Amino acid sequence: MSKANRINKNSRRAVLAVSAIGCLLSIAIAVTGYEWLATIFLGTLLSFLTAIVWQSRTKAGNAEPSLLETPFYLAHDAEIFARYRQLAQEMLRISGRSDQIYRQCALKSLDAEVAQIAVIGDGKITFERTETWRLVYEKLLRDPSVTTYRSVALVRNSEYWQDGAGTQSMQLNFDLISEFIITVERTVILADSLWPTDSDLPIESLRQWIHKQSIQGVWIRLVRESDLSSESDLIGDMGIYGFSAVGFQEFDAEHLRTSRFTLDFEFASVREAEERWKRLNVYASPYKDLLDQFRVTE
Amino acid sequence: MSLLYLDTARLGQACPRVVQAQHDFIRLSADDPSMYGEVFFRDGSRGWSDRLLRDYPGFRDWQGIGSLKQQVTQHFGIQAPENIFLANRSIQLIRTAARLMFRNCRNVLTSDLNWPHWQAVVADEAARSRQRVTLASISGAVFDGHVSADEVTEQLTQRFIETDCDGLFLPAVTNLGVRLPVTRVLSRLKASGRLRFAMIDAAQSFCHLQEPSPAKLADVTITGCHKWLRGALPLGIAVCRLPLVAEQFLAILRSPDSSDLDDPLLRFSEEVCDHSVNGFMETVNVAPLFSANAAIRSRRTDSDELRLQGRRQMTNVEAIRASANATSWQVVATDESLQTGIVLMRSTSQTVQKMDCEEVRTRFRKQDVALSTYPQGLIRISAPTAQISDQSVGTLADAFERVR
Repeated sequence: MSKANRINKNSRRAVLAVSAIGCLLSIAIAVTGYEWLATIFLGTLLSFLTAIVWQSRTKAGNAEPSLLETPFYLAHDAEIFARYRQLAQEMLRISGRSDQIYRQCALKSLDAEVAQIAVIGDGKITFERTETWRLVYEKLLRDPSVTTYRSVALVRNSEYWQDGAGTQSMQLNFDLISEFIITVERTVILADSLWPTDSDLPIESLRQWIHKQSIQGVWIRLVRESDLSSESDLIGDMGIYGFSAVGFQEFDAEHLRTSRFTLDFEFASVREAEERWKRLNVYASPYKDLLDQFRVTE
Repeated sequence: MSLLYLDTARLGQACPRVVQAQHDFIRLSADDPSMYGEVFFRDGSRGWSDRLLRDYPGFRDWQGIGSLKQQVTQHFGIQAPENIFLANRSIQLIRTAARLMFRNCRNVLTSDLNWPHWQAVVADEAARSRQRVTLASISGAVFDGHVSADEVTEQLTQRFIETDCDGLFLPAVTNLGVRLPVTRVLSRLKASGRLRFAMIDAAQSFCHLQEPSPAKLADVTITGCHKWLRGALPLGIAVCRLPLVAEQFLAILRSPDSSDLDDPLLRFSEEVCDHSVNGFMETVNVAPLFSANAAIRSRRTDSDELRLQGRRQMTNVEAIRASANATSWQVVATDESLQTGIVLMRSTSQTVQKMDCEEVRTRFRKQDVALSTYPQGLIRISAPTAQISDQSVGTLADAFERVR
């Protein structure tokens, strides 16, 4: 017997027992003939029933819908429901084919698709080997709910974000700051080769890139990658878009092209990223303060 | 004229060199306005003949906008004249600096002793940038006379940290003459590592205190020339501590989204220094440049002079206070550590308290005394920077006696 069946059977027994006790009690009260006692009994019974109904409704609201209830739940979301129907229709077509080799291949492909949909269900959208994530990036930054964009740039190549796509994204940052749409904070983690330990500031080409951002209103902090060696989980490329999402960018071997970009819309992930952001900035120094300490030789 | 002028905190009396400069400016406008060309604003009268200099002596000191900026840098202890901005309207400088501040700051601490108009501009910029302004209410404690500069420092830093602020906007001296301990506050906040941007209003401290602003700590200091400098004509000055901040300031001014920040003199002065004057721009009122230059050249910003002036002024403050003894006017007490050359007094007379400000001002004027008046019988006296004569003290005592 399954666990669910056992629970259902026990519940039925409990309901029968409570009903029997209630029945006996009402008979006993009727025999006594006291009206006030009957009123109290009825009032208590009514309250008890109300509580049970309320509790069962709350439970139903929290529980996931059953397989049969699923289409009814999805029906209120027209866009998702259209896709649900398409998926179901394709499943029917797949199921209608009897070739065993086809079936094995189809099941394998479906498993991969289900795994991908599960990731989307977890609130994550992944872009592989493409820069098209920048379109979503712009949508996010322009979203009225996003007023702050906090970004961590892991710079291991002096050309970082200085190609056409990167320059455009950077210009978007500047435009949005200028239009009062967002404020941008960026912490730049620099490989030691790009910011040698005996240098006050990063190599000139990167310093210029950082300086330009600072002039355009990005609040910049800098940290050497080696300074984070004891907290390696902080080393990574990340963007926090208000409270809406967090994005993680992974690069190819040359650290120039995006190999994967993952956007995570789960609130818990955003909070976790905020904690990382705070920890990272313990090690980082504002660019303005560095300029204040060290004179730039033109 | 026997007027006792005690209203420098509103508008200073033009100093003699300023009068000469303005006089010659108007004369040259009548004789040969074509002299006011780009080179004249860049290099000043350096290339002028001896005859021209003899005819227009008010321009002897005029060495161009760059030189004027250089003079200002010396007073504020800043190295590069490129970090100085000059404008017809100080409010445009405040707005630009506030816009710059709210690009980096989420929550800026201000006080209820800030000049209301500038405070409103900062609040407006905060709203535009969807950031916050936190107000520290210190005026009650300050005017009770119970808190010292140390305690004000403590209150402000405490409030800054408790409310998670990252920016600061305070006056060095308030319009009511309270000297806020901005240097101490900034030092403490800098050390905490939380302060991203500090903007100081030095309108009442410039040429009033020896150190108008903690320029080595504040990111932007803003002041004007028509009060204690005695330049007569309003000219806004913004002093950026770092070249980076000056570059950010310029970037905002040049942004296509900042057309509301346009100030003809600001644009013109930058273009002159950059050798990029736009020949089709509007005609600019350049007169404040000459008056400010003349005032600065007459050692109005000289550090030693200001120290001596400060001493004389405090002696005058004592004389002013004493002159109100046994009258219906009482000094609004503040702790000694917060005092400046501005004295606040309140009338205990119900009649005066109910009077309109203009009426009180007129009554004092009839007694040959010029000062600022506020509702409920409050007056602001700016102590003269030269030693006050016994006769002047007598005039003031008579005025206190008669305005009741």
